[in-house]
Amino acid sequence: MDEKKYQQLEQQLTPKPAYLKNCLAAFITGGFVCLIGQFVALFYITFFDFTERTASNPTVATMIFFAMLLTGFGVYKKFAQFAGAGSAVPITGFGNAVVSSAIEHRSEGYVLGVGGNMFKLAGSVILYGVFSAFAVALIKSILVALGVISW
Amino acid sequence: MGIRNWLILGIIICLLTGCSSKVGFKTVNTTEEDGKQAEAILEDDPRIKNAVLLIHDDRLIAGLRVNTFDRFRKRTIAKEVGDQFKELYPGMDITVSADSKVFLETNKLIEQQNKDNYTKKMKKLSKLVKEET
Repeated sequence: MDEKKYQQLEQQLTPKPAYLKNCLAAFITGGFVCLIGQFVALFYITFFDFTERTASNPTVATMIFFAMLLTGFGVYKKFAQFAGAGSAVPITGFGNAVVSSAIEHRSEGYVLGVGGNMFKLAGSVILYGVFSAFAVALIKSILVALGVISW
Repeated sequence: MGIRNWLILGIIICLLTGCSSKVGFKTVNTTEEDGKQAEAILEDDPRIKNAVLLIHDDRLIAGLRVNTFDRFRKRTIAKEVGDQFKELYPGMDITVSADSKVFLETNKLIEQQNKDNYTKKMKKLSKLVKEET
């Protein structure tokens, strides 16, 4: 069997992913995660001295905490199988990535195993998150300096 | 209907009732100043759908709720309204914000009708609005 034939066969056998269904599931579940986040934000606004602007920090922390607990109990895995991108794109996906790699490398010890591998996947999230924040802030600073927009 | 269907129905009703929170425009004025002008500014602005206004001592605090798509410009809207108020009431400490916190807390203050509390709470809210972190 040559390379071309193999590729043809492979394409025939690979099941087509249900794009529309996956998109719909991600849309609904991602929206549901955000709804929970909205309730958490409302909780902080109502019961503590947070405004809409300042409530975002504790909300993010709480959502990550929830995702970490659910990952530890093995619930997030089941949820993610159905939700797909709906569970990975919101901030809860970050918590899941951190804890699941920590659990995976537990047997290698606390320092080289858990410590060294915890941010294996989340590290790229942090790196590119910081970089894109820098890029956006730079663009905004330039636009403000030119007088196009205000802060 | 099974219990699951009732539960789903209950959740949907609870979520939909959130859409009908009509506070309208509320003004409480405990001073000699003319509060009607400020109220007119708020009511005439088509971008604002709900507003609570409290004028007490030398302080004015206004919590706005803007239309859904104007939320992108809610800080600009609050600033514009604030500037108009500053022209109307020079010498007053003015806080205008489209933040939910200010809206909810001011509304609560008005509904509790405890005038002794006003100054303390208003000071606290003004401080919260200025916080950047």
